Amino acid sequence: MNATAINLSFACYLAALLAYAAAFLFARPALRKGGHAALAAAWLMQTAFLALRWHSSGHAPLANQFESLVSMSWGITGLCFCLWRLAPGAWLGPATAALSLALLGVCALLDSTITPLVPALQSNWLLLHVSVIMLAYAALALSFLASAVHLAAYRGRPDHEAAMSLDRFNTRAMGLGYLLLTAGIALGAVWANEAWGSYWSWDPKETWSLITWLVYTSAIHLRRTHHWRGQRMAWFSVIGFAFVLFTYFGVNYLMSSLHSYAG
Amino acid sequence: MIPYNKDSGGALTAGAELLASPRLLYWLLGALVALCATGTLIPQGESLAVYTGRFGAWTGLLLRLRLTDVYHSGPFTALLGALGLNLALCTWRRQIHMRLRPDVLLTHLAILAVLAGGMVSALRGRHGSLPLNAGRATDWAEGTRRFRLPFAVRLEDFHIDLYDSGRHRLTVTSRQEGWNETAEVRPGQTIAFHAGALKVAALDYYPDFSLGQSGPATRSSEPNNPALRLALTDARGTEKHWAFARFPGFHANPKSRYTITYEMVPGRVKQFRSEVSLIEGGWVSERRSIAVNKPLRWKGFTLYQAGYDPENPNYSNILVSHDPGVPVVYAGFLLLTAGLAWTFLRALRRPLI
Repeated sequence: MNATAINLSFACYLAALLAYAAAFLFARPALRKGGHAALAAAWLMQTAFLALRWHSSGHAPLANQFESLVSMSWGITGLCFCLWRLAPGAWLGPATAALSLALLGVCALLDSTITPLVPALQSNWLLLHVSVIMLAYAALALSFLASAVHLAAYRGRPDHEAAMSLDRFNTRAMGLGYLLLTAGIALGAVWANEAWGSYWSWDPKETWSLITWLVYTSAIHLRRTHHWRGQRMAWFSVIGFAFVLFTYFGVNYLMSSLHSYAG
Repeated sequence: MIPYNKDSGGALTAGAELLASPRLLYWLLGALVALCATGTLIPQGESLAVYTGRFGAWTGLLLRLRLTDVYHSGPFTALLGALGLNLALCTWRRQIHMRLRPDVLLTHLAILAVLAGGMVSALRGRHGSLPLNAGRATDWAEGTRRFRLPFAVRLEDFHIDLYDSGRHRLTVTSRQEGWNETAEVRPGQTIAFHAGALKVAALDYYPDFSLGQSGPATRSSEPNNPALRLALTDARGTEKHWAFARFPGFHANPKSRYTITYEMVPGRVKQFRSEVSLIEGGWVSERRSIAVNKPLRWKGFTLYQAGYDPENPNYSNILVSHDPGVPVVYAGFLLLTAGLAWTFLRALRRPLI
């Protein structure tokens, strides 16, 4: 049942992407609505998968990289619908479908076995800390998507209405991601103090989360006090998301960390 | 663009002008990112031998630059101090703007609170460990700075709870007929091989086998040297066997009709738990349990389940911490999240320019 739900979700993301591609190639706007419907169906299937996994494992599906990645992909699509009205252009649906499809593809390479929780993860903080961090990464991924579209399609055209719309979306998504990242790091610090006896141990995962936070702090500060907009902010968002990816994937594979059970 | 009021600072000296400059903030953030990243690339707090083996001739330079203990080095502390000072001066200098944006003021003050809490932790916090053996009490915490607790802690018992007791896999090969089969067995259970031609009974299980004066025994419940005592029954009669997971050929009977390979997959750990007594004035005040994620708070100190020794089931390592900076840091986190949430919600209500 679990496998069926995640496979159906993958198929719906693929169908959404194909519908968007067909709408673009054959200039048939009606097909775009089909893409939206498939994207919604994919998200519902993913919701069902996470609910079933939660029920069968007895804990929130956030205990290893497979589960957190599915949750992050779920968060990206969910937040895409929440921020839908901020993106009047046709880019958000296809970009979200492509990214979520890619993330589910990566999930297929990871170990999906349900295992009992190790002692360090047996805490309600698991749900609070990891879910907030995954939502933060999801919001920052949407900020990255808007920036990538901006740089790919509207570089050198700062006054284009679509470029300004992408910049507004980037600002909102980055602001939301930054807020959630801050809350997630704070929740993680409280949990670390409960489990390890110190709210900050300079563990590589903690340190790279702080580095990512500092990068986005610079970006948001530069926008507010130095009026950085458009292309410069788009580049900052792309660079910031590279730090997110390194913190999420790179640290797990390249460094020895107290968070190694999350790998 | 937010107006920048240069006059509101008034009496700032030239040095303070530099410290209150927003441009300096970006340099400080950049330096902080670089130092933080360096600390994750170079192993921290390792022995000299580790650095010499890994970095060779560069070890001396790493030690001189304190790159082997970046986060406790003078330059890193100075950097955090400069960042706090810069933030405080920038906030004070832009007080007119801050009055109009209490959310931004709250965010800035929250970061200052986190830095101040960190400083209190560094200066006043005490962390150490209590290496305890069952039945013995101590009130001295070991660590970089040894300190005495206002109470003693005695380890009464240490438990490792398992989700399951582990799996025992037996592979039996018939020397005469040549067949070979594998099956899982539970201690106390009898299983059939080769369509019932051979019955194998797992009579006793010794997780940590040892040979004492009174015969076979187990030193602990940890699977350090798993052994099974087996009875093999076929048409010709019954043979007794010992099977050792770590020493496959040990104690094998060369005249036996069968060879046995035993594989033990240990059970998954569910929880590490120490039962301790808290002793004050020579009397036991409380008897409590400490487990991972379930610390014990007592007289301003927090005790954590930190480690154990697989070779010694009567040992538990308890971490002890007293950190007056924690409430300040938590208050900072709360205010920071509130300030950023306020800013985000405020921005949602206004059109972006």
